[in-house]
Amino acid sequence: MTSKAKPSTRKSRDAAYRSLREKIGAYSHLEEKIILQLMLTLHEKHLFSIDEIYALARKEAKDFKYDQEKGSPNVSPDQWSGNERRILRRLTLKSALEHFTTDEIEVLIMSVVKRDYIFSLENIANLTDISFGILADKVREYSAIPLGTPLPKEDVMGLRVSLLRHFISDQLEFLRVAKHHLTIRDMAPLVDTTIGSETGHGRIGGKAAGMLLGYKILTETLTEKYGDLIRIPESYYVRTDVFEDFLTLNGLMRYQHQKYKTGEEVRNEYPAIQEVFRNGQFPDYMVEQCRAMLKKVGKHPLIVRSSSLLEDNFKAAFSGKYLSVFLGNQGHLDRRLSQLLAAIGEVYASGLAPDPITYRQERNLLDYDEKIGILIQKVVGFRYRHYFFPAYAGVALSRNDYTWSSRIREEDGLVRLVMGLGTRAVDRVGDDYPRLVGLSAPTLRPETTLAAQKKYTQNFVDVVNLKTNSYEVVPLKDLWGDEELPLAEQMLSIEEDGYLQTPFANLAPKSYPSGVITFDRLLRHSPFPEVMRDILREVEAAYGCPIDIEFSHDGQHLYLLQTRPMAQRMPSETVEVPSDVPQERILFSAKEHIHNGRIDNIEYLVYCDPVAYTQVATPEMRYQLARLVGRVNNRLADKNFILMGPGRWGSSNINLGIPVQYSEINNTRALIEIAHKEGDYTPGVSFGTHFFLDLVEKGIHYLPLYPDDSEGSLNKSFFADSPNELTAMMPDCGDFSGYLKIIDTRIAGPGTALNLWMNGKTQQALAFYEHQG
Amino acid sequence: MNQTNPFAIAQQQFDEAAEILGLDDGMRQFLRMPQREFRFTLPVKMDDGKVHVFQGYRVQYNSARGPTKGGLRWHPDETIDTVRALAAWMTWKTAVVNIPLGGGKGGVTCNPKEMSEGEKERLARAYMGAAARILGVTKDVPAPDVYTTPQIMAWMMDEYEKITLESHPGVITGKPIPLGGSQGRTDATARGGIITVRETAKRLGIDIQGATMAVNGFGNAGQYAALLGEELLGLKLVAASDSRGGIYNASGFSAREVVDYKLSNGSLSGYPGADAVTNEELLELDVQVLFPSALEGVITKDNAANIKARIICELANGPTTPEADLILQDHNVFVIPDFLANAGGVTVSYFEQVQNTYNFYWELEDIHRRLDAKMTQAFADVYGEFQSRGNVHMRQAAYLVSIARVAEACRLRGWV
Repeated sequence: MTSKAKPSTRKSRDAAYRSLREKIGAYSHLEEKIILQLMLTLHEKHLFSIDEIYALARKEAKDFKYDQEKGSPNVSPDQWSGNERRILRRLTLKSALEHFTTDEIEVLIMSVVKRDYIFSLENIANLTDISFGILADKVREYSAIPLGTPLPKEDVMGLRVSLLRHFISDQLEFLRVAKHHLTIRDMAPLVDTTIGSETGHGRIGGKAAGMLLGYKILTETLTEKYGDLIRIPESYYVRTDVFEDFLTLNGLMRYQHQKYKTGEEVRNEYPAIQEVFRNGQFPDYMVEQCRAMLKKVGKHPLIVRSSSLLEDNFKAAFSGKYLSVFLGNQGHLDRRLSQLLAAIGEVYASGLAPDPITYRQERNLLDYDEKIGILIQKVVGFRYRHYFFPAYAGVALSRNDYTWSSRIREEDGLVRLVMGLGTRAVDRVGDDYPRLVGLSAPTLRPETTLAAQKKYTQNFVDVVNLKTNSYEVVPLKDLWGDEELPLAEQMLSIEEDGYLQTPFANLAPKSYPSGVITFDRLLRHSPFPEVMRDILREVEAAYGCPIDIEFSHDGQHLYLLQTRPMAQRMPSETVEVPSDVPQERILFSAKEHIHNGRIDNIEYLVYCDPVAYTQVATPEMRYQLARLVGRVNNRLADKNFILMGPGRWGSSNINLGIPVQYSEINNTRALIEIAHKEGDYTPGVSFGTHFFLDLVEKGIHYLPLYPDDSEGSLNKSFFADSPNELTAMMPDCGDFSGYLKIIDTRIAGPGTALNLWMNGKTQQALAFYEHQG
Repeated sequence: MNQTNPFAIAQQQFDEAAEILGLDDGMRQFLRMPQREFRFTLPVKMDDGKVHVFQGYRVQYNSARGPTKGGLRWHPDETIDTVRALAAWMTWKTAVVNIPLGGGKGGVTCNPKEMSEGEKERLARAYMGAAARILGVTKDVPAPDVYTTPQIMAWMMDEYEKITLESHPGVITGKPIPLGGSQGRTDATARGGIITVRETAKRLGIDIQGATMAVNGFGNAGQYAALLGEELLGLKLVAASDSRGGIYNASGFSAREVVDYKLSNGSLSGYPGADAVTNEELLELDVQVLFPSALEGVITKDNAANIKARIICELANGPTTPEADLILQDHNVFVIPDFLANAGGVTVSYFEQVQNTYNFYWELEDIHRRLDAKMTQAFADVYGEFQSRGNVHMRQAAYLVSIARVAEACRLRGWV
């Protein structure tokens, strides 16, 4: 407050004074506090000290008293002080008008009003059973107060936490982060889009919470750089208490105990539960709120997502455990409404599905009173023919576990990118591939040949079909029509005459069918990789732990759909590689290029001896060995086994590794490449790049071993001395027992239960027997 | 490494043929070594500002029959021995189809998987900067090979023209069509193979119309083999496989539908109306024609005796091991050896060079007609050798024809 406003004439000064009095009069109950605030500000700015102002007031009051005494000697001391206060007020106001502009004074007044609101809100919010309606009204009233100067954090923190608990989530880890970002004002749009009764009280749950928090972090940090590029979809939140009302109304409370039944009972009863829930009745208030929402949204496709209290918990991410339902949302309002309600019922039922119950069992979360909130969102995207989908979408992780090249750094993050709905990037489908983008070097990919780039690409697109009103998987070749697809040139490379060309201009629809999804132009010539790096960095910094997000892009804006801590990276889910295993129980160890993973109770080791392979086997035998590995792979299909061999698995050069195809190793839990030193030379390993995406999508772990390095080890005598099951298991395999060994870990070895634990953070991997034999 | 130095193997194959041909010692010594070898040190500025120094090679194995010709490989494990072996192989291949070219090969030890586009372009230009003096349409003509693409060829041609200040599209082949690439390249390898199958059937008196075929490896060559086998010869596709396994139906598939399925699904698995077969089972199916089209070493001494196909057309390089060759011969399986069966590719590369020199470009039908003539004659020459000698198998016959041609040119030049 540097500028001073000096009314030029006495007349205008009087008018300003009167209008200020009126303004303060509107908050008569706060008058004292407002005067005090003005006085303090004048004092702090060395414009008029409190001592001075009091002294002046006292002097004036004394003169007044003297006058009064002359007329009436029996004036009470109270009246005196009343006079003094009035004088004090007048002096303060006049001085304020002299030194501050009216806007500045307004801000000071509003800060007092806000603080008062906060005080009363806090009192209400601290009541645990306060109804949603009352609290929502208070939040709306508060938000109507002009923004002004922010209040000090310590004044608002307590209230923020209370409101977050009421409206969003009571997870302590969430609150720890959210209280620094989500303000009281941020609650206002939320309460206006919440579905639930005015008298009830419940929360909107984890998924909604993560999205709102992530979005707020990004608006705080990246708005200056990217403007309004980053958004969240128009969203509506069905509170968790609606779930309880639904159960009560339909007499379904008994299913709350479903979780304590045996796995088999849970599985058997689930189909019936689904039917019952789909056809359940919803409370009238909720039906009407949904109808109003649908009117507002119009015939735009919707997604109904679970947003339960446990979901997106910091310690266990229920990724994909509960259902999400896409709705075309076309047709008559009544029809749209009944489809929406059925979808909500279905999502409610998914809380009782076998998968999430097992997941909770494993993580000791069974006794938590799980309540399911619902997040209803407009699907991000555009209409293309009778389909609706985003240009591209995916998942981005702030840590990249697939550092297959030294140019890819773990901390720069990873994006799993697909065209169309992101469901294809979230769920691994096995034989269709998202583009995996290491953000350190977005254009690098393990596939360099045309054949590999055509093989490891996305051939299906997930969409909402507006004719059938439902989610659909469409083969890419059937997607194309005569219309232009937004961003097609960013996503497709065109196959021409035996090679893939990155478009240098917009593509005409007639060239779409010769397109292969590569995202080359998006990754080479657009800011997308930088935007993703920025997003991941900022959200990770705010959360204080590795995170992942879901996003989609409608051709214009990038939408944040979800933010959550990366569960597999959390201490509870990362395996701590033990350091006290006695040497005799260790089979091998490694210290470089380690990804996170854990394989327990390995039944078989399939081991191709590196020395025998490189120094004894003839070329003919090397090919035969590759085929034999394939047969072993089939024979052990339902067993827990890992595959170990020299150099590059899958190389076409038989000198560098065993020339297997993916189908010959696809049942192993881990693929281990041994870089056995020959003289002064250590042959290279492939980092699994010969079938990289297949390994990633199937979840096969990859590990390079450098047994001749000081950091790595391989218990050579164990591998040499253990009995070989090869001939017993495959009698017609010929004389390969000197090259390929199948070791039954329960027969061989110095203990029981062979485990392979890998920790990417500490870069440790250890294969060890758990117990002494 | 034991027995697997690729150049040692190439020399061994040459020695066997030289023995049968009865080449004199001087000729043998000359032909079992490359004529010229070059090694380049290539500094390239990487994206992070650092300089990385790459090693490049070019081997001109033999230029007696004309300018040397052969691919340029970018591979992390590239060695001079691999390049030498492949350069020798190119010499025999251009000779077997009787095009007026010698054989060469080049390489750079690098990992393109870990290089950005900008880095690849700078490396391509650095290579041409170093090699320009030994390359040219009258000297030595590179082409795409492992991990090198038409785009890389385009950069290199551009660099060459910058150095010479003239238009020289023929300095390199496998260019994009707008820069002088040839029509008909995409299916050239498979088309050449199909022509040799047609000629084989004629010689063996097999009615190929409606006969069955199985394709092992369903990449570019395998897909076109299926399509062209059906279109040109009336073969019936009964089985095909890729790295995920195969499909089989005794009453046959539409090749077009199977290819479309593969293209839109990424793999063959799940093809409707088909039984699943493994890659191994596919090789042993009772079919008339088998196309090993993807991998080396799929036919070994373990399974060679079980092969029931009458004709094996080797579209892949080295699908049959030497021991298996002998077994196949005993079992009366007719093998069209790889460097004859898949020579359609290099032939169309040669056509590209010719068109570049003319600066006049042929229609697709012209390419197909000329390719047919070249392959038909090449097959006739090899088969003639096979027939007249009686005691050699087709692979040896092909070696004999090509080595004799190269030796003859050397002799006529008065070199040896």
